[in-house]
Amino acid sequence: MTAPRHKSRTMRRVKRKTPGNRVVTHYKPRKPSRQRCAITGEKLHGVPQERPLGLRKLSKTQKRPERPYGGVLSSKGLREVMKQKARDIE
Amino acid sequence: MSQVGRIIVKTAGRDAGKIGVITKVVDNNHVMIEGQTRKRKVNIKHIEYTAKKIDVTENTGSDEIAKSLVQLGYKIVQKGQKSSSKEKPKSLRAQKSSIVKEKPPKKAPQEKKTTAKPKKKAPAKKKKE
Repeated sequence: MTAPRHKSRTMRRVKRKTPGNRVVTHYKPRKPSRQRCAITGEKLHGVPQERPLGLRKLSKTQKRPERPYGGVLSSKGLREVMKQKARDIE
Repeated sequence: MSQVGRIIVKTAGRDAGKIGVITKVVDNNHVMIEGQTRKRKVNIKHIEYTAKKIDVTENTGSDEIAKSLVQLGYKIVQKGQKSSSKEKPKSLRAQKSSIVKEKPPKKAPQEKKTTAKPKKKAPAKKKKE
């Protein structure tokens, strides 16, 4: 019978064939959803979609773009912030 | 708006948010800038104009441009200098190492109060008959 902890849909089901020619279900954890821009809400480029263990293996430059507010704002969102800064200078 | 001497803010790229001055108009879409960023050709779509303007020509040196921007209140980091403002001056660093925290004096152990307690007698065992 399935163990009660495996009935949750936070775990995904994968069918695997064993060496004894039986098909069994394996339960694997899901990856998190893609990170989104704080202003526009669109999906961010340059940010990997990995669980914490996968992120820990990467270097700092592999997790975000080399740009102010990289990993937080998209290029469009950054442009809006910088245009506001230009208007404040006046 | 794309005139020589106009102060601009970069809106895209690694140096977004930095301030520069237009030194030359290349064509309808490109402009040469200098200032907090390095001297480079830039697309007009990647900059935002401000209302300020300074007296600059195509042949003015980068030192003069830096001076005029500093007068307006913008910081410019020259080559070879670090831009970190968190560095402590050497005099403070030396003082910190020489200061040794004084530990509070150890308190003398308090003498335990000894009061004569009556000794408890063990209950007498009853012999089974």
